[in-house]
Amino acid sequence: MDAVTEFLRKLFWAENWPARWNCGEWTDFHGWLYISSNIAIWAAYFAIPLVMIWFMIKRKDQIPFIKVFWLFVLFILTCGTTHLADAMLFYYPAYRLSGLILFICAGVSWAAVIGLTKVMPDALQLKSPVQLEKIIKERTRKLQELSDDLAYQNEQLTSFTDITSHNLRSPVTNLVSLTDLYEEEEDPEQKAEYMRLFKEESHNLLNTLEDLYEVVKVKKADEVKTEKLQFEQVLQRVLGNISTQIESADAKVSYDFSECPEIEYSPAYLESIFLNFLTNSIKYSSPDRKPEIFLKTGKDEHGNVMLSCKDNGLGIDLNKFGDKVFKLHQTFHKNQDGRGVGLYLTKTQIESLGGNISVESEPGKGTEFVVHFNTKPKRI
Amino acid sequence: MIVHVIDDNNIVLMVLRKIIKKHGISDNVHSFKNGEEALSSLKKGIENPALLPDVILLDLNMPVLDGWKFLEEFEKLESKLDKPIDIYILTSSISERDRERASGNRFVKGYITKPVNHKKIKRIAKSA
Repeated sequence: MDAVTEFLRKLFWAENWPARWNCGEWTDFHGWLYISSNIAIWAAYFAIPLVMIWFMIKRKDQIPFIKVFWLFVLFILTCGTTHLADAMLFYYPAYRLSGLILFICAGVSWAAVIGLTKVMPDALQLKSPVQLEKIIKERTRKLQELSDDLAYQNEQLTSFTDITSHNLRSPVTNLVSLTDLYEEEEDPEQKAEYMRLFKEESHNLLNTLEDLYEVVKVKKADEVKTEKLQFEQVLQRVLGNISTQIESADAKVSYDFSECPEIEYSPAYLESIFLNFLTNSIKYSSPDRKPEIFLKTGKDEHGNVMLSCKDNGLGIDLNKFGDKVFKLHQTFHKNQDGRGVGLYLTKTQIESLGGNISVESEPGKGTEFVVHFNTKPKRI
Repeated sequence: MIVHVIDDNNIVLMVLRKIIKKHGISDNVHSFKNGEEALSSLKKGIENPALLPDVILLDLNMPVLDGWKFLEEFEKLESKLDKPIDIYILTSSISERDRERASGNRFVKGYITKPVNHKKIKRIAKSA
Protein backbone atom coordinates (compact mmCIF):
# COMPACT_ATOMS: atom_id res chain seq x y z
CA MET A 1 0.00 0.00 0.00
CA ASP A 2 2.88 2.31 0.91
CA ALA A 3 4.42 1.72 -2.48
CA VAL A 4 1.19 2.82 -4.20
CA THR A 5 0.87 5.96 -2.02
CA GLU A 6 4.54 6.77 -2.69
CA PHE A 7 3.92 6.18 -6.43
CA LEU A 8 0.96 8.54 -6.56
CA ARG A 9 2.66 11.21 -4.44
CA LYS A 10 5.66 11.28 -6.75
CA LEU A 11 3.57 10.81 -9.93
CA PHE A 12 4.96 13.86 -11.73
CA TRP A 13 8.54 13.59 -10.35
CA ALA A 14 11.24 13.10 -12.93
CA GLU A 15 14.37 13.36 -10.79
CA ASN A 16 15.02 9.64 -10.40
CA TRP A 17 15.74 9.01 -14.11
CA PRO A 18 17.78 10.62 -16.81
CA ALA A 19 15.86 12.06 -19.83
CA ARG A 20 15.78 9.48 -22.59
CA TRP A 21 18.00 11.66 -24.84
CA ASN A 22 20.72 11.05 -22.27
CA CYS A 23 20.09 7.36 -21.98
CA GLY A 24 22.24 5.37 -24.36
CA GLU A 25 23.45 6.75 -27.67
CA TRP A 26 20.87 8.52 -29.83
CA THR A 27 21.74 10.13 -33.08
CA ASP A 28 19.61 13.21 -33.91
CA PHE A 29 18.00 11.31 -36.73
CA HIS A 30 17.13 8.26 -34.63
CA GLY A 31 15.84 10.36 -31.70
CA TRP A 32 13.64 12.60 -33.84
CA LEU A 33 12.42 9.64 -35.83
CA TYR A 34 11.28 8.09 -32.57
CA ILE A 35 9.75 11.30 -31.15
CA SER A 36 8.01 12.51 -34.32
CA SER A 37 6.59 9.06 -35.11
CA ASN A 38 5.12 8.79 -31.60
CA ILE A 39 3.59 12.26 -31.85
CA ALA A 40 2.19 11.46 -35.31
CA ILE A 41 0.63 8.27 -33.94
CA TRP A 42 -0.87 10.18 -30.99
CA ALA A 43 -2.30 12.83 -33.35
CA ALA A 44 -3.87 10.17 -35.55
CA TYR A 45 -5.18 8.31 -32.48
CA PHE A 46 -6.74 11.56 -31.36
CA ALA A 47 -8.31 12.31 -34.75
CA ILE A 48 -9.84 8.85 -35.24
CA PRO A 49 -12.13 9.09 -32.14
CA LEU A 50 -13.19 12.60 -33.21
CA VAL A 51 -14.31 11.23 -36.58
CA MET A 52 -16.08 8.38 -34.80
CA ILE A 53 -17.89 10.79 -32.47
CA TRP A 54 -18.94 12.93 -35.44
CA PHE A 55 -20.30 9.81 -37.16
CA MET A 56 -22.13 8.73 -33.99
CA ILE A 57 -23.76 12.15 -33.65
CA LYS A 58 -24.88 12.12 -37.29
CA ARG A 59 -26.27 8.59 -37.11
CA LYS A 60 -27.65 8.99 -33.61
CA ASP A 61 -30.40 6.37 -33.45
CA GLN A 62 -29.16 4.03 -36.14
CA ILE A 63 -25.97 2.68 -34.57
CA PRO A 64 -26.16 -0.75 -33.00
CA PHE A 65 -24.05 -1.48 -29.89
CA ILE A 66 -23.40 2.21 -29.14
CA LYS A 67 -21.67 1.37 -25.81
CA VAL A 68 -18.98 -0.65 -27.63
CA PHE A 69 -18.49 2.32 -29.94
CA TRP A 70 -17.80 4.53 -26.92
CA LEU A 71 -15.35 1.94 -25.52
CA PHE A 72 -13.52 2.01 -28.85
CA VAL A 73 -13.30 5.80 -28.74
CA LEU A 74 -11.76 5.58 -25.27
CA PHE A 75 -9.47 2.70 -26.29
CA ILE A 76 -8.01 4.61 -29.24
CA LEU A 77 -7.62 7.81 -27.17
CA THR A 78 -5.72 6.02 -24.37
CA CYS A 79 -3.54 4.13 -26.88
CA GLY A 80 -2.66 7.48 -28.46
CA THR A 81 -1.82 8.95 -25.06
CA THR A 82 0.74 6.18 -24.39
CA HIS A 83 2.58 7.29 -27.56
CA LEU A 84 2.52 10.93 -26.43
CA ALA A 85 3.95 9.84 -23.05
CA ASP A 86 6.65 7.84 -24.83
CA ALA A 87 7.74 10.97 -26.75
CA MET A 88 7.58 13.04 -23.56
CA LEU A 89 10.13 10.79 -21.82
CA PHE A 90 12.88 12.16 -24.09
CA TYR A 91 12.78 15.48 -22.15
CA TYR A 92 10.65 14.83 -19.07
CA PRO A 93 11.33 11.34 -17.68
CA ALA A 94 8.17 11.03 -15.52
CA TYR A 95 8.15 7.22 -15.70
CA ARG A 96 5.49 6.95 -12.98
CA LEU A 97 3.06 9.07 -15.01
CA SER A 98 3.93 7.05 -18.10
CA GLY A 99 3.31 3.83 -16.14
CA LEU A 100 -0.13 5.06 -15.00
CA ILE A 101 -1.06 5.99 -18.57
CA LEU A 102 -0.03 2.50 -19.73
CA PHE A 103 -2.10 0.96 -16.90
CA ILE A 104 -5.20 2.96 -17.87
CA CYS A 105 -4.69 2.00 -21.53
CA ALA A 106 -4.41 -1.69 -20.54
CA GLY A 107 -7.67 -1.47 -18.52
CA VAL A 108 -9.60 0.23 -21.30
CA SER A 109 -8.22 -2.21 -23.90
CA TRP A 110 -9.44 -5.21 -21.92
CA ALA A 111 -12.80 -3.57 -21.31
CA ALA A 112 -13.05 -3.22 -25.10
CA VAL A 113 -12.14 -6.90 -25.55
CA ILE A 114 -14.84 -7.98 -23.07
CA GLY A 115 -17.40 -5.59 -24.58
CA LEU A 116 -16.71 -6.87 -28.08
CA THR A 117 -16.97 -10.52 -27.04
CA LYS A 118 -20.29 -9.85 -25.35
CA VAL A 119 -21.94 -8.18 -28.35
CA MET A 120 -20.46 -10.60 -30.90
CA PRO A 121 -23.43 -13.05 -30.94
CA ASP A 122 -25.84 -10.15 -31.53
CA ALA A 123 -23.53 -8.57 -34.09
CA LEU A 124 -23.51 -11.82 -36.04
CA GLN A 125 -27.32 -11.62 -36.22
CA LEU A 126 -27.20 -8.28 -38.00
CA LYS A 127 -28.46 -8.52 -41.58
CA SER A 128 -26.23 -7.71 -44.48
CA PRO A 129 -27.61 -5.31 -47.13
CA VAL A 130 -28.21 -8.30 -49.46
CA GLN A 131 -30.15 -10.13 -46.74
CA LEU A 132 -32.09 -6.95 -45.93
CA GLU A 133 -33.02 -6.47 -49.56
CA LYS A 134 -34.31 -10.05 -49.67
CA ILE A 135 -36.39 -9.49 -46.53
CA ILE A 136 -37.81 -6.26 -47.95
CA LYS A 137 -38.74 -8.01 -51.19
CA GLU A 138 -40.47 -10.80 -49.29
CA ARG A 139 -42.39 -8.36 -47.12
CA THR A 140 -43.37 -6.27 -50.12
CA ARG A 141 -44.73 -9.42 -51.77
CA LYS A 142 -46.75 -10.26 -48.65
CA LEU A 143 -48.08 -6.71 -48.45
CA GLN A 144 -49.07 -6.87 -52.11
CA GLU A 145 -50.97 -10.08 -51.42
CA LEU A 146 -52.67 -8.50 -48.45
CA SER A 147 -53.53 -5.46 -50.50
CA ASP A 148 -55.02 -7.65 -53.27
CA ASP A 149 -57.01 -9.47 -50.65
CA LEU A 150 -58.31 -6.24 -49.19
CA ALA A 151 -59.22 -5.00 -52.65
CA TYR A 152 -61.16 -8.24 -53.21
CA GLN A 153 -62.97 -7.90 -49.89
CA ASN A 154 -63.68 -4.27 -50.60
CA GLU A 155 -65.18 -5.22 -53.93
CA GLN A 156 -67.35 -7.81 -52.17
CA LEU A 157 -68.46 -5.20 -49.70
CA THR A 158 -69.32 -2.68 -52.41
CA SER A 159 -71.33 -5.27 -54.27
CA PHE A 160 -73.09 -6.07 -51.01
CA THR A 161 -73.98 -2.41 -50.56
CA ASP A 162 -75.50 -2.46 -54.04
CA ILE A 163 -77.37 -5.64 -53.14
CA THR A 164 -78.86 -4.05 -50.05
CA SER A 165 -79.78 -0.96 -51.98
CA HIS A 166 -81.41 -2.70 -54.95
CA ASN A 167 -82.43 -6.17 -53.98
CA LEU A 168 -83.66 -5.65 -50.47
CA ARG A 169 -85.04 -2.14 -50.70
CA SER A 170 -87.02 -2.90 -53.83
CA PRO A 171 -89.46 -5.50 -52.42
CA VAL A 172 -89.76 -3.58 -49.15
CA THR A 173 -90.74 -0.36 -50.94
CA ASN A 174 -93.36 -2.38 -52.82
CA LEU A 175 -94.78 -3.63 -49.54
CA VAL A 176 -94.98 -0.05 -48.26
CA SER A 177 -96.74 1.12 -51.44
CA LEU A 178 -99.20 -1.78 -51.29
CA THR A 179 -100.03 -1.00 -47.66
CA ASP A 180 -100.71 2.63 -48.62
CA LEU A 181 -103.02 1.57 -51.45
CA TYR A 182 -104.76 -0.96 -49.22
CA GLU A 183 -105.51 1.71 -46.62
CA GLU A 184 -106.85 4.18 -49.15
CA GLU A 185 -108.97 1.60 -50.99
CA GLU A 186 -112.62 0.99 -50.13
CA ASP A 187 -113.62 -1.63 -52.68
CA PRO A 188 -113.29 -5.02 -50.89
CA GLU A 189 -112.41 -6.84 -54.09
CA GLN A 190 -109.56 -4.46 -54.82
CA LYS A 191 -108.44 -4.70 -51.20
CA ALA A 192 -108.24 -8.49 -51.54
CA GLU A 193 -106.15 -8.07 -54.69
CA TYR A 194 -103.71 -5.80 -52.84
CA MET A 195 -103.48 -8.35 -50.06
CA ARG A 196 -102.69 -11.10 -52.57
CA LEU A 197 -99.90 -8.98 -54.09
CA PHE A 198 -98.67 -8.14 -50.61
CA LYS A 199 -98.35 -11.85 -49.86
CA GLU A 200 -96.61 -12.53 -53.16
CA GLU A 201 -94.10 -9.76 -52.61
CA SER A 202 -93.45 -10.93 -49.03
CA HIS A 203 -92.48 -14.30 -50.50
CA ASN A 204 -90.19 -12.60 -52.98
CA LEU A 205 -88.51 -10.78 -50.14
CA LEU A 206 -88.07 -14.03 -48.27
CA ASN A 207 -86.54 -15.63 -51.37
CA THR A 208 -84.11 -12.75 -51.75
CA LEU A 209 -83.09 -13.09 -48.12
CA GLU A 210 -82.54 -16.81 -48.59
CA ASP A 211 -80.41 -16.13 -51.68
CA LEU A 212 -78.37 -13.65 -49.72
CA TYR A 213 -77.90 -16.17 -46.96
CA GLU A 214 -76.43 -18.61 -49.53
CA VAL A 215 -73.94 -15.95 -50.56
CA VAL A 216 -72.99 -14.97 -47.03
CA LYS A 217 -72.53 -18.66 -46.24
CA VAL A 218 -69.57 -18.83 -48.63
CA LYS A 219 -66.76 -19.22 -46.20
CA LYS A 220 -63.13 -18.20 -46.10
CA ALA A 221 -60.76 -20.58 -47.86
CA ASP A 222 -59.27 -22.01 -44.68
CA GLU A 223 -62.71 -22.95 -43.39
CA VAL A 224 -63.73 -24.89 -46.49
CA LYS A 225 -63.15 -28.64 -46.46
CA THR A 226 -61.64 -29.92 -49.66
CA GLU A 227 -61.15 -33.48 -50.90
CA LYS A 228 -60.04 -35.31 -54.01
CA LEU A 229 -63.01 -35.36 -56.39
CA GLN A 230 -63.67 -37.09 -59.70
CA PHE A 231 -65.31 -34.57 -62.05
CA GLU A 232 -67.39 -37.32 -63.63
CA GLN A 233 -68.76 -38.60 -60.32
CA VAL A 234 -69.77 -35.13 -59.16
CA LEU A 235 -71.38 -34.31 -62.51
CA GLN A 236 -73.35 -37.59 -62.48
CA ARG A 237 -74.62 -36.78 -59.01
CA VAL A 238 -75.80 -33.34 -60.16
CA LEU A 239 -77.36 -34.76 -63.35
CA GLY A 240 -79.27 -37.21 -61.18
CA ASN A 241 -80.65 -34.36 -59.08
CA ILE A 242 -81.92 -32.37 -62.06
CA SER A 243 -82.88 -35.29 -64.32
CA THR A 244 -86.50 -34.11 -64.60
CA GLN A 245 -85.42 -30.65 -65.75
CA ILE A 246 -83.02 -32.14 -68.30
CA GLU A 247 -85.60 -34.55 -69.64
CA SER A 248 -88.34 -31.97 -69.99
CA ALA A 249 -85.96 -29.62 -71.81
CA ASP A 250 -84.77 -32.57 -73.92
CA ALA A 251 -81.21 -31.35 -73.27
CA LYS A 252 -78.12 -33.26 -74.32
CA VAL A 253 -75.25 -33.12 -71.85
CA SER A 254 -71.84 -34.44 -72.93
CA TYR A 255 -68.41 -34.16 -71.34
CA ASP A 256 -64.72 -34.92 -71.69
CA PHE A 257 -62.80 -35.01 -68.42
CA SER A 258 -59.95 -37.17 -69.78
CA GLU A 259 -57.32 -34.42 -69.73
CA CYS A 260 -57.86 -33.74 -66.07
CA PRO A 261 -60.21 -36.23 -64.41
CA GLU A 262 -59.87 -35.10 -60.78
CA ILE A 263 -59.35 -32.10 -58.52
CA GLU A 264 -58.80 -31.31 -54.85
CA TYR A 265 -61.82 -29.10 -54.14
CA SER A 266 -64.87 -28.52 -52.01
CA PRO A 267 -67.54 -31.08 -53.04
CA ALA A 268 -70.36 -28.65 -52.22
CA TYR A 269 -68.85 -25.88 -54.36
CA LEU A 270 -68.10 -28.13 -57.32
CA GLU A 271 -71.68 -29.45 -57.24
CA SER A 272 -72.96 -25.89 -57.06
CA ILE A 273 -70.78 -24.88 -60.05
CA PHE A 274 -72.08 -27.78 -62.17
CA LEU A 275 -75.65 -27.18 -61.05
CA ASN A 276 -75.57 -23.49 -61.92
CA PHE A 277 -73.94 -24.04 -65.30
CA LEU A 278 -76.44 -26.74 -66.27
CA THR A 279 -79.59 -25.03 -65.03
CA ASN A 280 -78.46 -21.75 -66.55
CA SER A 281 -77.89 -23.37 -69.94
CA ILE A 282 -81.32 -25.02 -69.82
CA LYS A 283 -83.09 -21.89 -68.60
CA TYR A 284 -81.57 -19.73 -71.33
CA SER A 285 -81.71 -22.27 -74.13
CA SER A 286 -82.71 -21.16 -77.60
CA PRO A 287 -86.32 -21.89 -78.63
CA ASP A 288 -85.00 -22.79 -82.12
CA ARG A 289 -82.92 -25.84 -81.12
CA LYS A 290 -82.51 -28.54 -78.50
CA PRO A 291 -80.17 -27.50 -75.70
CA GLU A 292 -76.67 -29.00 -76.01
CA ILE A 293 -74.19 -28.61 -73.20
CA PHE A 294 -70.55 -29.69 -73.36
CA LEU A 295 -68.30 -29.78 -70.31
CA LYS A 296 -64.52 -30.18 -70.52
CA THR A 297 -61.58 -30.08 -68.11
CA GLY A 298 -57.92 -29.35 -68.80
CA LYS A 299 -54.90 -27.48 -67.54
CA ASP A 300 -53.87 -23.92 -68.34
CA GLU A 301 -50.32 -22.69 -69.00
CA HIS A 302 -49.68 -22.39 -65.23
CA GLY A 303 -50.73 -25.98 -64.62
CA ASN A 304 -53.99 -24.92 -62.96
CA VAL A 305 -57.08 -27.03 -63.48
CA MET A 306 -59.66 -25.54 -65.84
CA LEU A 307 -63.31 -26.36 -66.43
CA SER A 308 -65.32 -25.06 -69.36
CA CYS A 309 -69.04 -25.30 -69.99
CA LYS A 310 -70.28 -24.50 -73.48
CA ASP A 311 -73.90 -24.34 -74.59
CA ASN A 312 -75.87 -23.50 -77.74
CA GLY A 313 -78.38 -21.28 -75.96
CA LEU A 314 -79.57 -17.69 -76.32
CA GLY A 315 -76.18 -16.18 -75.48
CA ILE A 316 -75.56 -12.89 -73.75
CA ASP A 317 -74.63 -9.63 -75.44
CA LEU A 318 -71.39 -8.99 -73.57
CA ASN A 319 -70.94 -5.54 -75.10
CA LYS A 320 -74.14 -4.55 -73.33
CA PHE A 321 -73.96 -6.64 -70.17
CA GLY A 322 -70.30 -7.66 -69.82
CA ASP A 323 -69.88 -5.97 -66.45
CA LYS A 324 -73.09 -7.39 -65.04
CA VAL A 325 -73.00 -11.10 -65.84
CA PHE A 326 -71.77 -12.15 -62.41
CA LYS A 327 -73.71 -9.64 -60.34
CA LEU A 328 -76.57 -10.59 -58.07
CA HIS A 329 -80.10 -10.44 -59.43
CA GLN A 330 -79.10 -9.42 -62.90
CA THR A 331 -81.07 -11.08 -65.61
CA PHE A 332 -80.66 -10.31 -69.26
CA HIS A 333 -83.60 -12.04 -70.79
CA LYS A 334 -87.30 -11.59 -70.53
CA ASN A 335 -87.41 -14.97 -68.87
CA GLN A 336 -89.13 -14.62 -65.53
CA ASP A 337 -87.57 -17.75 -63.97
CA GLY A 338 -84.17 -16.12 -63.89
CA ARG A 339 -83.55 -14.80 -60.42
CA GLY A 340 -79.94 -13.93 -61.13
CA VAL A 341 -78.47 -15.67 -58.10
CA GLY A 342 -76.62 -18.67 -59.54
CA LEU A 343 -73.71 -17.05 -61.33
CA TYR A 344 -73.13 -14.56 -58.54
CA LEU A 345 -72.95 -17.42 -56.05
CA THR A 346 -70.72 -19.50 -58.35
CA LYS A 347 -68.31 -16.61 -58.80
CA THR A 348 -68.20 -15.93 -55.06
CA GLN A 349 -67.47 -19.58 -54.30
CA ILE A 350 -64.76 -19.92 -56.96
CA GLU A 351 -63.04 -16.69 -55.93
CA SER A 352 -63.15 -17.55 -52.25
CA LEU A 353 -60.90 -20.53 -53.04
CA GLY A 354 -58.52 -18.44 -55.12
CA GLY A 355 -59.86 -19.16 -58.61
CA ASN A 356 -61.61 -17.10 -61.25
CA ILE A 357 -64.39 -17.41 -63.79
CA SER A 358 -64.82 -15.78 -67.18
CA VAL A 359 -67.44 -15.81 -69.90
CA GLU A 360 -67.48 -15.72 -73.68
CA SER A 361 -70.75 -15.41 -75.51
CA GLU A 362 -72.38 -14.52 -78.75
CA PRO A 363 -76.07 -13.64 -78.83
CA GLY A 364 -78.05 -16.30 -80.70
CA LYS A 365 -75.18 -18.81 -80.73
CA GLY A 366 -74.38 -19.74 -77.17
CA THR A 367 -72.30 -19.11 -74.09
CA GLU A 368 -69.08 -20.58 -72.71
CA PHE A 369 -68.05 -20.24 -69.08
CA VAL A 370 -64.45 -21.02 -68.15
CA VAL A 371 -63.32 -21.64 -64.58
CA HIS A 372 -59.66 -21.49 -63.57
CA PHE A 373 -59.31 -23.18 -60.20
CA ASN A 374 -56.73 -21.98 -57.66
CA THR A 375 -54.89 -19.47 -59.77
CA LYS A 376 -53.70 -17.74 -56.64
CA PRO A 377 -52.67 -18.96 -53.21
CA LYS A 378 -55.63 -19.48 -50.91
CA ARG A 379 -57.13 -16.33 -49.52
CA ILE A 380 -56.43 -15.65 -45.87
CA MET B 1 -100.94 14.43 -70.02
CA ILE B 2 -99.39 11.20 -71.31
CA VAL B 3 -97.21 9.31 -68.83
CA HIS B 4 -94.81 6.48 -69.65
CA VAL B 5 -93.75 4.29 -66.75
CA ILE B 6 -90.68 2.11 -67.33
CA ASP B 7 -90.11 -0.50 -64.63
CA ASP B 8 -89.53 -4.25 -64.65
CA ASN B 9 -91.56 -4.78 -61.51
CA ASN B 10 -95.27 -5.49 -62.00
CA ILE B 11 -96.24 -4.22 -58.58
CA VAL B 12 -94.53 -0.87 -59.15
CA LEU B 13 -96.28 -0.54 -62.52
CA MET B 14 -99.64 -1.38 -60.99
CA VAL B 15 -99.18 0.95 -58.00
CA LEU B 16 -98.14 3.85 -60.21
CA ARG B 17 -101.04 3.38 -62.60
CA LYS B 18 -103.47 3.32 -59.69
CA ILE B 19 -102.05 6.44 -58.07
CA ILE B 20 -101.85 8.40 -61.33
CA LYS B 21 -105.41 7.57 -62.31
CA LYS B 22 -106.95 7.81 -58.86
CA HIS B 23 -105.53 11.25 -58.16
CA GLY B 24 -106.58 12.56 -61.54
CA ILE B 25 -103.06 13.22 -62.72
CA SER B 26 -103.52 11.46 -66.02
CA ASP B 27 -105.80 9.00 -67.74
CA ASN B 28 -103.19 8.09 -70.26
CA VAL B 29 -100.59 5.89 -68.57
CA HIS B 30 -98.48 3.40 -70.51
CA SER B 31 -96.32 0.77 -68.84
CA PHE B 32 -93.11 -0.70 -70.22
CA LYS B 33 -91.14 -3.61 -68.74
CA ASN B 34 -87.74 -2.36 -69.81
CA GLY B 35 -85.92 0.45 -71.62
CA GLU B 36 -86.00 -1.31 -74.96
CA GLU B 37 -89.80 -1.55 -75.09
CA ALA B 38 -90.14 2.11 -74.09
CA LEU B 39 -87.60 3.13 -76.71
CA SER B 40 -89.44 1.44 -79.56
CA SER B 41 -92.59 3.27 -78.49
CA LEU B 42 -90.69 6.60 -78.62
CA LYS B 43 -89.46 5.72 -82.09
CA LYS B 44 -93.07 5.35 -83.21
CA GLY B 45 -93.62 8.83 -81.76
CA ILE B 46 -91.17 10.31 -84.27
CA GLU B 47 -93.76 9.73 -87.00
CA ASN B 48 -96.74 10.43 -84.84
CA PRO B 49 -95.97 13.00 -82.09
CA ALA B 50 -99.42 12.54 -80.58
CA LEU B 51 -98.11 9.23 -79.16
CA LEU B 52 -95.22 10.88 -77.33
CA PRO B 53 -95.40 11.16 -73.53
CA ASP B 54 -95.08 14.38 -71.54
CA VAL B 55 -93.50 12.61 -68.62
CA ILE B 56 -91.38 9.45 -68.33
CA LEU B 57 -90.96 7.74 -64.97
CA LEU B 58 -87.81 5.67 -65.35
CA ASP B 59 -86.47 2.87 -63.14
CA LEU B 60 -82.70 2.34 -63.18
CA ASN B 61 -82.16 -1.34 -62.48
CA MET B 62 -83.88 -3.33 -65.25
CA PRO B 63 -83.06 -6.26 -67.50
CA VAL B 64 -82.44 -5.97 -71.26
CA LEU B 65 -81.97 -2.18 -71.32
CA ASP B 66 -81.51 -0.49 -67.95
CA GLY B 67 -82.28 3.11 -67.03
CA TRP B 68 -78.79 4.43 -67.75
CA LYS B 69 -78.64 2.81 -71.17
CA PHE B 70 -82.14 4.11 -71.89
CA LEU B 71 -80.93 7.66 -71.16
CA GLU B 72 -78.00 7.17 -73.56
CA GLU B 73 -80.35 5.99 -76.30
CA PHE B 74 -82.81 8.79 -75.51
CA GLU B 75 -80.07 11.37 -76.08
CA LYS B 76 -79.54 10.05 -79.61
CA LEU B 77 -83.28 10.22 -80.29
CA GLU B 78 -84.15 13.48 -78.59
CA SER B 79 -83.53 15.89 -81.50
CA LYS B 80 -86.02 13.94 -83.61
CA LEU B 81 -88.79 14.17 -81.03
CA ASP B 82 -91.35 16.86 -81.65
CA LYS B 83 -92.21 17.42 -78.03
CA PRO B 84 -90.31 18.18 -74.81
CA ILE B 85 -90.31 15.17 -72.48
CA ASP B 86 -89.53 15.35 -68.77
CA ILE B 87 -87.77 12.30 -67.39
CA TYR B 88 -87.97 11.47 -63.71
CA ILE B 89 -85.84 8.71 -62.22
CA LEU B 90 -87.86 6.42 -60.00
CA THR B 91 -85.61 3.98 -58.19
CA SER B 92 -85.22 1.84 -55.11
CA SER B 93 -81.54 2.70 -55.03
CA ILE B 94 -80.50 4.96 -52.19
CA SER B 95 -76.96 5.22 -53.47
CA GLU B 96 -75.55 8.74 -53.64
CA ARG B 97 -73.52 7.64 -56.65
CA ASP B 98 -76.70 6.98 -58.63
CA ARG B 99 -78.27 10.25 -57.52
CA GLU B 100 -75.20 12.26 -58.56
CA ARG B 101 -74.98 10.46 -61.88
CA ALA B 102 -78.64 11.20 -62.56
CA SER B 103 -78.35 14.88 -61.62
CA GLY B 104 -75.54 15.18 -64.17
CA ASN B 105 -77.87 14.13 -67.00
CA ARG B 106 -79.54 17.04 -68.79
CA PHE B 107 -82.71 15.08 -69.55
CA VAL B 108 -83.37 14.08 -65.96
CA LYS B 109 -85.70 16.54 -64.29
CA GLY B 110 -86.04 14.82 -60.94
CA TYR B 111 -84.98 11.88 -58.83
CA ILE B 112 -87.48 10.01 -56.69
CA THR B 113 -86.69 7.16 -54.36
CA LYS B 114 -89.22 4.40 -53.89
CA PRO B 115 -91.60 3.71 -52.19
CA VAL B 116 -93.87 5.75 -54.43
CA ASN B 117 -96.95 7.43 -52.99
CA HIS B 118 -99.45 9.97 -54.28
CA LYS B 119 -97.59 12.91 -52.69
CA LYS B 120 -94.42 12.21 -54.62
CA ILE B 121 -96.34 11.69 -57.86
CA LYS B 122 -98.40 14.85 -57.39
CA ARG B 123 -95.22 16.85 -56.92
CA ILE B 124 -94.05 15.60 -60.32
CA ALA B 125 -97.38 16.48 -61.91
CA LYS B 126 -97.11 20.03 -60.60
CA SER B 127 -93.58 20.63 -61.88
CA ALA B 128 -94.17 18.88 -65.22
